[in-house]
Amino acid sequence: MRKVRALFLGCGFLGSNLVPQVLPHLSSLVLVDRDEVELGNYDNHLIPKGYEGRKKVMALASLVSLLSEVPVFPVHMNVQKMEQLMDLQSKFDPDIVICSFDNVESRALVREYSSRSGIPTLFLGVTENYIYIDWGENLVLPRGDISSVLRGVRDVCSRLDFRALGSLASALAYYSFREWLMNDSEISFIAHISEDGIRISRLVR
Amino acid sequence: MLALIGYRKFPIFYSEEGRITRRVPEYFLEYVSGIREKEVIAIGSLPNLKLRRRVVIGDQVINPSFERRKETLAKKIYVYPEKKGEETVRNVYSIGLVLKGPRFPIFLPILYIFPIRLSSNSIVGKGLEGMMELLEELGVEVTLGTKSQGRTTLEVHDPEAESDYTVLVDDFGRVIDTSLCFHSDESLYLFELVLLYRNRRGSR
Repeated sequence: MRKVRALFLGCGFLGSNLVPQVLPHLSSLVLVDRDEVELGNYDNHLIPKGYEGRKKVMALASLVSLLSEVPVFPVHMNVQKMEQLMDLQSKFDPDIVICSFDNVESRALVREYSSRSGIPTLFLGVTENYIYIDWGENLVLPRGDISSVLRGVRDVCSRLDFRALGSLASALAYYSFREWLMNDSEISFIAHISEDGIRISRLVR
Repeated sequence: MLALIGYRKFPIFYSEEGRITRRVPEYFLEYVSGIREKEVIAIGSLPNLKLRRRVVIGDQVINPSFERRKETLAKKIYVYPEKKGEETVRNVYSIGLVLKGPRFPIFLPILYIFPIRLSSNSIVGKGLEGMMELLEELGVEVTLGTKSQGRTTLEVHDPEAESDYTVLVDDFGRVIDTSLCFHSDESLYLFELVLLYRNRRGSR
């Protein structure tokens, strides 16, 4: 199976869950995140201990160097402009972009970047009862006043109660990534979690 | 790609394989040239090197046998493209990378196994005796038992791990056997066994 260069935008809850899954398929890995590790992150991020107050990208890069021999490039950056993404592209020439940013503005920016660059871009997202795995321009972002949704997402990303969401989202994203790798097909999923259980649907467009 | 800055007149660059190189991407060269501090590391990527276990006490980096100083520690770590470096973690039992430095090798800790607090750094060069001093500071009681043919039996009482166990060590403090149900592929030293066991019990 071919190996690819991956650019991970976001190294938090979802990113750190997915990175170990895709490692065997990578020839290089670029990790981008702006945040530092907080104590609460240990409840649902997959990162080595002792990194409180230090950069998330370094925490995850260290884990990668323990798990594999894949060259890993940590980039501590707050992505706010298209130029930053184009700059990352020119430096690292990724085959695929995997975005798990937890803010809508950055996701919208990455969606636009995906459209402009033509580089396959896989998005992962969660709310308290919802997971979506989607590709490039197809990504649907919420509109209007979404402050309460965002608060919910931040909550999900830092609470032990939602740890299973990370595993489920990363498993679905890995499936989608692998399908892209093997068959060049872009499979999207949504999963709805309710009191009755979890319902996973494949989106057909 | 990684660079040591302020150890010589010009930065020293390392490839992904951990070898000193002059082939440096322009963006990283530019980044490094903007760092003015001395004795710091700039990280563009983590080199693919064998990971080493080390004890970092203050600025000193010693091997787990406590016999000798092995490497020095960079003062700060810069992660591309961040302009502000962060202090290198000190006083820790750590796993990390060793880079060939201009005079001494440089240790870059990347995984922090256990914090170590010591009132002095006089344990360097003391071997097993140094380990006993460290364990005493950590509140672990070690009683010497029988000694024969270069092997010593030690009775360990660790209140934090709520455990009593026996360890057989050689003259260098290397663990030969233990009454604990504990397996490691690596050859461990006494203090490593105690800390790792504490860690496994989930206590600090």
